[in-house]
Amino acid sequence: MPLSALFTAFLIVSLCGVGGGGGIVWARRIAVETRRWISDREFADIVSLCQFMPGPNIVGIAVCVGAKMRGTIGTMAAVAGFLVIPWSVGLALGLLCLEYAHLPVLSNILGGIAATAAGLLTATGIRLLVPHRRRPAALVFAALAYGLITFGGVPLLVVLFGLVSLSIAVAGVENARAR
Amino acid sequence: MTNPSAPIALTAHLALVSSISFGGFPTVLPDVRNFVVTTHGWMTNQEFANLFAMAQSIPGPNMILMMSFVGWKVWGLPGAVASAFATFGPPCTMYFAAYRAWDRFRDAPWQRILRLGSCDHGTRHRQRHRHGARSGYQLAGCRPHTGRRCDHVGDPAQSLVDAARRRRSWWPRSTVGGPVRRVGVQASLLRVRGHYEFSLIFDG
Repeated sequence: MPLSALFTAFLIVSLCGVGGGGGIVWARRIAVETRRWISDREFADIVSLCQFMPGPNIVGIAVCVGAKMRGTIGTMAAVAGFLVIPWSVGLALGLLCLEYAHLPVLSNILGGIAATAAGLLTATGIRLLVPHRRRPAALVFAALAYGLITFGGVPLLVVLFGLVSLSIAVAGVENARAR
Repeated sequence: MTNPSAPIALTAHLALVSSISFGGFPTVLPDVRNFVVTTHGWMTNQEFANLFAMAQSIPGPNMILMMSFVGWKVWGLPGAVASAFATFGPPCTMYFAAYRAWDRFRDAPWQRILRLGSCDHGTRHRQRHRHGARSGYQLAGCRPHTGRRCDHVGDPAQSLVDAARRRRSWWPRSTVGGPVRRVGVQASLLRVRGHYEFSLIFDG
C-alpha cells in the first residue's frame, strides 16, 4: 500500500467535503467502498472513537485509517494529504479575497455567507438540544453556557469544566431519583 | 502585531482550545472570538465574521483554515502555519494515541463487548451473530426490524473463545483448554447483566 495512495485518497476527501459534515460520507465512500482499506465495522468504530474525542472528526478519521494502513508514517501521509494542498490553496485564495474585502460587493457576499453559516451552526445547536427539551436542568445548563460565553466573557475552559462537572452531577442525581 | 509575544499567546491559546473542542472546532469559536477580538483587539468583529464566512465557503479543512487567517493577521505566514499546527496538532496526537490503544487491545474481551454494543440490522446482522444462534444463545434485546440502533451486546463467552483460538499475545498459548471454559462460564453469567448495563450506555 503506497503512501501516495493514502495521500491522494484523503486529498479527495478533503476537497469533496465542503462545509464539514459531508466529509465523513466521502471518507467512508473512499476508504470502505472504493479502496476497500477497512471494513464497514472498523469504519464505524473509528467514527465513534473520533466523535468521542475533541477536534476535527474527519482529520481523526485520516489519522486512524493512516495508522491502520501504514503506522506512524501512514498517519502523516493521510493527514498531509488531507491538509497540505487544500490548506495552501485555501490560504492563498482567502488572502486574495481579504485584500478586496473593503469592496462593497465582496463585503456583502461575505456578510451573506457569514449569516448563513452562523444560522447553520445555531440550527445544529438547537437540534442537539431538542431531545433534551423535557429536562429543565439541561435547558438551564445550555442557557448558562450560552450566557456565560456570549455576555459574560468567561473563558471557555472555566465554563466547560465548571458546567460539565455540575451537569453530570445533576444528571446523576436525577437518574438516582428516577429509579 | 505590536507585541512580540502575540503569536506565542495565540498559538498557545489555540492549542489549548483545540484540545478541549469536543464536538468539533466550532464549539470553541466564541472563545476564540473573545480572545482575538475582545481581549487582544487584533481584529474587529466584522473582520472575524469575514474570516468565518471565507473559511466556510472554501472546500477543505475550514476551521484550520480560519485559524490560519487569524494567525496571518497576527504574524504573517509563520503565524498562519503555527496556528494551523496548533489547531490540528493536539487533537491529531490524541486521535493517534487513542487509536493505538484501541487497536492494541483489539481482542480484549471488554472491547469486543463494547464493539458488539452497536450493530447493523438486516441480513448481515443475522450472519454476524449466527454463531450465537447456533450455540443456542438467545439474541435478547435485538430488534432487527425496528430500524433502531440495536442494543445487543453479543455473546462475550463466544468472543472470548474466538479470541483465544486466534491465540493473540494477551492469551498464553499453553492455557487455551481449561481457563477458556472457566472464563467462558463467567462471561455467560455476566452477559445477562451486561446486556442491560451496556444497553443503558448505548441508548444514552
